[in-house]
Amino acid sequence: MQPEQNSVKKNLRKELDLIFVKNPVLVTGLALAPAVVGGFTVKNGLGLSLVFGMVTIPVLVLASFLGMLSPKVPQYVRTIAYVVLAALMLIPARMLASGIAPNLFDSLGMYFSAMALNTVWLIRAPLCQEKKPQWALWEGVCQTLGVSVCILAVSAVRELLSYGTFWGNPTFLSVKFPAMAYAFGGFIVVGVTAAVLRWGIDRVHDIARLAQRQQQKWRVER
Amino acid sequence: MLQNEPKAPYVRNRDSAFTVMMDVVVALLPLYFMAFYFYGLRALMLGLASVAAAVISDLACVLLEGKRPYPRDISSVVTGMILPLMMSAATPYYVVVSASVFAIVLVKHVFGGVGQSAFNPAAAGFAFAAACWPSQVFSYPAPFSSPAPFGAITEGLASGPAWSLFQGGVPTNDILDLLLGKFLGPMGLTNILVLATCLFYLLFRGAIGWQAPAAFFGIMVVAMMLFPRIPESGPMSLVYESTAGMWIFGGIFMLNEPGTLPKRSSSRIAYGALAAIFTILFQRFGRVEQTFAFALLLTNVFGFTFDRYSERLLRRLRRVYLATRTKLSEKKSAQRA
Repeated sequence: MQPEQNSVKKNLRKELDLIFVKNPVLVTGLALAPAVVGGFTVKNGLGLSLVFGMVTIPVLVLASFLGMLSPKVPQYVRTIAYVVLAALMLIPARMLASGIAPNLFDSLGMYFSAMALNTVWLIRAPLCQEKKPQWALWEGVCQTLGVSVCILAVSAVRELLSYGTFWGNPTFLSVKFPAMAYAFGGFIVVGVTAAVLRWGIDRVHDIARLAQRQQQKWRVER
Repeated sequence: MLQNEPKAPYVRNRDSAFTVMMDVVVALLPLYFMAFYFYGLRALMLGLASVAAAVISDLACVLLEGKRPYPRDISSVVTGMILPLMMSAATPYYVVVSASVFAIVLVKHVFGGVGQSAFNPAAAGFAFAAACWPSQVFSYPAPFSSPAPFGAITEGLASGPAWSLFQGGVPTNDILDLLLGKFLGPMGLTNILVLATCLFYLLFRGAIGWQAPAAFFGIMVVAMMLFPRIPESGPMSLVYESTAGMWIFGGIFMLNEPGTLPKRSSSRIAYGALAAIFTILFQRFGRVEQTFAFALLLTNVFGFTFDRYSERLLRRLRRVYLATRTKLSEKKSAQRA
């Protein structure tokens, strides 16, 4: 295999880790606020992940383009450019959100706008300045996927527990825990989800190690 | 060489974790007797359900952690016994059971099990139930109304004197009824005389130290007497607040939980005082009628900090004391010379 192709594959796989193994919310602990507070129904969760994608991907791509400029452009000027772009991206995000559900923007309240300054791009944008634009775009997509997986899972659990519904439709659950819709319930659900995810990752690693050992044994036998 | 060499702690105390916990269980039994007297079989069944849920979830967590179950650890029984006493006798079973499971799994074992928990499990379980189902937890059946032992109870429920105190009004109950615990309230902690007996029993058995309860009750009594929140005289306000509120029960059974209580005497006094201040603040500005559990959860955060700072403070004081003593002795010897 040629070295260039090899690096492409490596980069692709590295960013794909962001979805589960290095999940930005559950493992790294970034962008916790929307998952903990805002995402208490699946609709809200979908809206939040949509805004997240709409804001984060363009900012990371912009960062990689700004990184091509001469290093004389100071960091604070670049940060201002990111903030302006993120705030501007809220306008199309709101249009899309009203397409999903008419009252989504109102039910998200402050957390819709607060998504513009999420910690994921605040931390990743300076690092994306050294990346090529296509890799910055790929990272943005993977970050969005990771955050959406987490927020959707957490908000589904919270909606089931607190209201006994899923996407507004009643389900079989009769016992309800209304406190799960509050921030304190959000913390509990996010914590338990993070624990379950890490446990699952550990088990997958165990299985992979066992398979590797078995392969080695077979090779020796041959 | 000795054949049977004695093992490491050569001087052993008569008290172990088991005896202390057993004392607390014994002190809780009269409260269950009073609950049985007022509300019949349902009180006992609620207690039994809560204890069973706590013990089973504790066992499940211990097995999940890969440890061996230790039958002399009965702290989960204590947590399970404390929880339903703070709730109404008409509370549905699922509320009690989920509060108890929450207390054991998400408060006790997430932080590392017995003696490691950052928050009092019983207080956290009660706070969870009060936040999730306030209408079920805070609406009480009348004493001697003999609620059905099983099934949901929806009729004949009302709010008690704690609610009228919370609204800023004076309760209309008879004083004798209040002192004997015959009024609408949590099923196990209305009788203040039994609670006082429990306190003295625990103090004389040495199951709890005097420092934290002394500071807590001292500040609470002074505050209730001097700054009543209802238009009544000081002593009457004290009677109403102490009988209707949860803080006497909490100050005996939850404030002195050995896992969260600081280890030094001075920090225990500060801890009790802080708990009292938080309870009063929550009473004035809170949104729930029974505020002690929430105040205690906030106080729990400071337990470890108090220990550390009191150690530093005592060390500094000792240094100053030693320095002045050496100076004085030098002066004396110089004078003699």
